[in-house]
Amino acid sequence: MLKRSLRFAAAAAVLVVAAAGCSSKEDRRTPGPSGSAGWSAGTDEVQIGLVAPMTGPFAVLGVSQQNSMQVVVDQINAAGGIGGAKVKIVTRDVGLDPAKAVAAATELAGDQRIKLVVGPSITAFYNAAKATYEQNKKVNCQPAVAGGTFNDLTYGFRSQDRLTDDVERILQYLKSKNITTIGEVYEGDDTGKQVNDLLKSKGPQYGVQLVGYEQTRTDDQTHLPYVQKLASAGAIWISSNVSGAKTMAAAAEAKYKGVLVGGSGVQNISFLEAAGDAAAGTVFAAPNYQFPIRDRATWKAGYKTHTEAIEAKYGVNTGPKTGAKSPKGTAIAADCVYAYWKAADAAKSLDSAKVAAAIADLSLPDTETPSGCAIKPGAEHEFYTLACIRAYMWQKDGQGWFTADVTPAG
Amino acid sequence: MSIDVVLDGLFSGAAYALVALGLAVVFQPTRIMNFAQGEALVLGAAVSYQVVALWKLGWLVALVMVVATSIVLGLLMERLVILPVRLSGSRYAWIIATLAVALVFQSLFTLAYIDVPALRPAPMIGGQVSFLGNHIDWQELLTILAALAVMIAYDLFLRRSAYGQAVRAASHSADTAVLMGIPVQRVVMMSFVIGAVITALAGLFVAPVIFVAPASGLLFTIKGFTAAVIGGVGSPRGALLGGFLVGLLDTVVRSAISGTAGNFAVFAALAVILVVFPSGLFGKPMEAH
Repeated sequence: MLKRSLRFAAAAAVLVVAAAGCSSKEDRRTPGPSGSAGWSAGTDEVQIGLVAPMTGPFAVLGVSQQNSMQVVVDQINAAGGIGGAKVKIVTRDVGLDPAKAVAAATELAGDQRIKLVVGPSITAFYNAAKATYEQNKKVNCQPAVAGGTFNDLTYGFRSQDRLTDDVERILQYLKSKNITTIGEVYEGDDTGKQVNDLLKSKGPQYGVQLVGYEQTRTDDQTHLPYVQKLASAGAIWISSNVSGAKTMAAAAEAKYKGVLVGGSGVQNISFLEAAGDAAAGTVFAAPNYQFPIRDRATWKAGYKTHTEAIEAKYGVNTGPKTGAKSPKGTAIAADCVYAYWKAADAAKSLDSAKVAAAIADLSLPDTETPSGCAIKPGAEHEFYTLACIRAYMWQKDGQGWFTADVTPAG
Repeated sequence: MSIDVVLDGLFSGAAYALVALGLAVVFQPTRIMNFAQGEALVLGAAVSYQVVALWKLGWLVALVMVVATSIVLGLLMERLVILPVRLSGSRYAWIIATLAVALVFQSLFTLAYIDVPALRPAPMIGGQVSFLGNHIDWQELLTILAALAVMIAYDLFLRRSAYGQAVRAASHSADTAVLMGIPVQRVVMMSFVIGAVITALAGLFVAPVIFVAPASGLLFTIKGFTAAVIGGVGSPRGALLGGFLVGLLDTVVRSAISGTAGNFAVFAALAVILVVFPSGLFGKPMEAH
């Protein structure tokens, strides 16, 4: 009797454990709250990787990317997550070390819990990592890679302005000002050479001729000799790195009469800190960047919401010398997370191939996105089109630094 | 080629000359080429930026603070370099010790000025002065004159003062100098301090004109090192001449041809000078070894 009772109890216990196990598996498959789009991601958590410099000279970039991404993650989680799954950012600090960047990209690409990777920043680092993403079928989004193309990738997307668009917008501006010659002072790196090729090939379409390319060195104390050699050019294209500020200062010293132009990196207030008043009048092309435009009523709705959320949560960067301000976030990184959310909702899946296809098919209006740019990646896998790339001019008055939108009409 | 280019070359050369002098001052009694020397230049630029650009306290306060902080830096460098070298016993321990010190200070400067790409205060004297029909910034002229003054002062100190003679004695033979009652350890410590002050003064003068980034110390060390080798390692006069040669050659060739050609010209000149004058232009064989 006792034996039978024990057998029964043991069998019951096995059943209970088995049932609990089944129930547990079922629970994992079907999380409690379903997403706003009414579908189940089949997991409790969606992890998004960020490979960026969080320490060292470029830490501002990594921290800004993380802040902007976190604001969107908070927004997603408040709305019920992606298919009911909460979203979490996993960050890898790689400084400016290419080996660390590739190692981190490889690690995150191989981690099945990571559904999207943002970074690594810098074109050369990404070029070294993108094959790993493709091999691992990892959806990735690049808000700090200006060079190269993305149309040959299945899982890679760019949420930054293309150099081609920057150059095109600036050439339009120069044409509108009847400027017919341009020189370039830039590092002899891939970006510098690509800008050179673009100015050479596209310039004639706008009646602008490239008259010289001075390749700078990291140990240049001044860019005065370069500017003096290009003194007759109507415009000089400067680097988006700090060496661009050296060119600004040299242009002021040489009393250069033309206009300095550049890509989106010139929006960084570190240029103002380094070059001081010499930065005034510099024109740069960038995706919608309305922060330095004082009248907030003109800001696009999604951009305003995102930027004000950044200000409320993280504050603003203030140049210690100039007092110039910038948000502690970068909205184009937020676009990566936002687009992934919308694409996963559209695909009703976290499957990388389906989400990548859905991202390519996205068409999000500029009033909705954090950057204030319409997102239409298409087959090019480029989030933004030329329409969103604006020409801005740094200016200074009694209240400090601001920008004016100088994009030519039409 | 315009006279502007020559003046710019002299200005850059003045900065390199002061770094080279700092290297020479430390090298004389220690036979150590201090790869952390450029960090003193960054310190000078950082303190001037902090005092003049951020605290708005003026250049006199900046000068006092640069001298005070560079004395502390010199003392710290001496401890951080000499102690590991003595404890290690290896002939080459100074290489890694000085590089490590450079990287430590580079990290500290980067952390302190994480959002600042260039430590650039306003000039001491704004505007330009006419010179042979051209214009040169007052700040650049001041830097060239300061480099010459510092060089002459150190040369006089070395040749005329008792302490300078002690430095020269220690540089010939530390063991003999000890037997003669010369406090060689104190001489070594003093050399690190003087070297740091001289190089920090270079930072104070050049910061308003050029771009001194928080992590740029090693770049200045390399330029200063090249100048010191061309002029003759351990020779203050050689440091001055080497600095001006490097600055002029680099700037003139860069202006005439390209940036890459500028560096090539400098290192080609270095190679030729070392073949013709193995101890540098002003160096003595004993000092070079």
